[in-house]
Amino acid sequence: MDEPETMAVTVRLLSILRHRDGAIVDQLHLQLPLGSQASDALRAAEIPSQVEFILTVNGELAHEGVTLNQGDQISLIPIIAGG
Amino acid sequence: MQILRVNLTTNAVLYKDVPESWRAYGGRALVARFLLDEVPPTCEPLGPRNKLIWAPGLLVGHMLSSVDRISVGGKSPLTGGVKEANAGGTTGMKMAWLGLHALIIEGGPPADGSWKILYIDAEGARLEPAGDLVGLGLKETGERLTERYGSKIGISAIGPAGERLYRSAGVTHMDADLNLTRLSARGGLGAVMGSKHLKAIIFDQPRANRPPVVDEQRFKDASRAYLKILREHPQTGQIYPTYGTAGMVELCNAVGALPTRNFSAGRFEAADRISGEAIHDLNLARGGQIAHACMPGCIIKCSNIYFGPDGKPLVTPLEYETIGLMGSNLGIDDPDVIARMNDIANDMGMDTIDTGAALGVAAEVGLLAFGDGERALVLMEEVKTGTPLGRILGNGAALAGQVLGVTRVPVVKGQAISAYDPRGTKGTGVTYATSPQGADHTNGLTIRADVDHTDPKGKVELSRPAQLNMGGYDSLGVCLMGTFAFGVDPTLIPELVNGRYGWDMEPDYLQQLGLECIRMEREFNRRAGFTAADDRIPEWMTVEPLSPLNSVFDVPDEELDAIFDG
Ligand code: SF4
Repeated sequence: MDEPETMAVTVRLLSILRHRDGAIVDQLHLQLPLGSQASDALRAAEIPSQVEFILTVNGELAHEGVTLNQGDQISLIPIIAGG
Repeated sequence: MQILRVNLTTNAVLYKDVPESWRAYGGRALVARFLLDEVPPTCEPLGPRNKLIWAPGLLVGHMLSSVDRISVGGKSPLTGGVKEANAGGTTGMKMAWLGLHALIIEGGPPADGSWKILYIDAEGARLEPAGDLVGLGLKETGERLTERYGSKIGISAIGPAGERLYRSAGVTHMDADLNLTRLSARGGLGAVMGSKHLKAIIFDQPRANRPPVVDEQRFKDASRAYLKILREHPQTGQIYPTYGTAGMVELCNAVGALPTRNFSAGRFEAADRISGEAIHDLNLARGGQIAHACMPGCIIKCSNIYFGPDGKPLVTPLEYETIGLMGSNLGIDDPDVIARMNDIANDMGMDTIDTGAALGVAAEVGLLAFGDGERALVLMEEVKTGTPLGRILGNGAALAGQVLGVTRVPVVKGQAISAYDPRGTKGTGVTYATSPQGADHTNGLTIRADVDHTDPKGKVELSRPAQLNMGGYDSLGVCLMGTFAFGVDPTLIPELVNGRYGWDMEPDYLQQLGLECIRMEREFNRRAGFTAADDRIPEWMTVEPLSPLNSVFDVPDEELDAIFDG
């Protein structure tokens, strides 16, 4: 059997990133080419560029250049100054 | 502008011009100057030689968004050192409209043991009997005072926690909707007010009476530019109004610094149940309110009114620090339980940070199982009724640790660490260690910086400017949430100050003011007996790794000791 050419990745949207077109969207399920990086997921998820956020992959802090694997969960958490 | 002095022993009320050496200071810096000038550093904090001061920041009184904060100060019964605790609400604005640069409370308690209310309006000030208000929670206190004096007043008051001299008692101020819930929370200043038998202060000034502005155009231009940043930036324009400070839960959890089970872990497995997102959704589904302003004119509106399952208001505001210390720190994942604990603390007039930390300490000896919300509520009821155990917990985490025989106590200078574990965010740890105020995130939070927060390198350099900035902002009356916009355009603060006072301050004014403020505070602490040994994170946090980051607090002592040199 052929190897699949894409992989499933979940993007968890937090804070104002959940507000999309007037609705609340907590998660996006993406199919990305194998070998994609977190930055590819962000592009596919159409994340607005003016929002600063930190990124975790499977709960661990990561950066946009990290290579993703099948089944990874990315969380995008907008940064605030304090509370 | 004037200084009003009221003596609770003699009933004397005295208005005086602002002394020359106090004119450049407001808010936190004025608290420090006042303590050095007037309060014996070794005095008993709950005795008649200690004094209290109310000092609006230098920019207060113009209804400029989030810039109307009040500082309350005195010698702290919790830390034994300098204490400034600022808050929102309407007190700062009303004081500025009454032409008051500061209000000083001296002496007390009255010889006959009676309790007083201080009433201030444009005609003058007088002490009145507090009568049947004594012993009442703050909800009822607020209702009775607005019945008696009308709904256009400002109020500062203490609840039963202050009356009982709990070291976690704060001074509570009224918000824009007449809720008596905005707390100058930290360091036990409510107990100092209680020691003087002063139940409440009424600021009766319904008329907007802005302080004079020397260069209106300059002030207006800078105000406009500031408001534009607030409106346009996602953080102040969207995130805070929608999620409030609770938006920090997921962020701090991801960083690995969310206090969990008495600071034994930095990630809470149920963070998503107490997150800003979860609370936002639950609250709106119940008809609750988000985007609530604690003071008129605030356009950030980070506050909320959290509704309970019955669709009625349960508490305002429900904030990140409370969620961290009374939620994850106790292993509690039910927002309603956290809100009910918060409501008890609000009505008692006490700091949720030190109280939550005290409960975490109690859990170490089995007085509470982590995660047992019902038991946590029972303990809060004990705090409320004043049982011996309740009084121990009401006196904060440091005292609870001593009495209960617990050494894993999260305090610096006797004050509880707030909801950022110093091992997971070491810049903030440096702030906790070296701030003259004791552990307090509002004195220089560093979580926003794009750095490895577990690497000790460079964290003193990260904390120092954050601390100086906050020393400046707290002296001007600027809310922590508004500081963000001033960071975007650092020319705005000098412009506002120069416009308001006709001064000629340089671009580094904010930092210079902060440095002066902190130097004065450190001098007061030095005279009170503090040494470098007090500028330390609890020893156990330097040897016990924080899971899952496996990080200890390891910023070298020599670096901590040199932070304010130069
Ligand atoms: S941002 Fe929040 S705390 Fe600050 S003034 Fe506005 S409502 Fe009050």
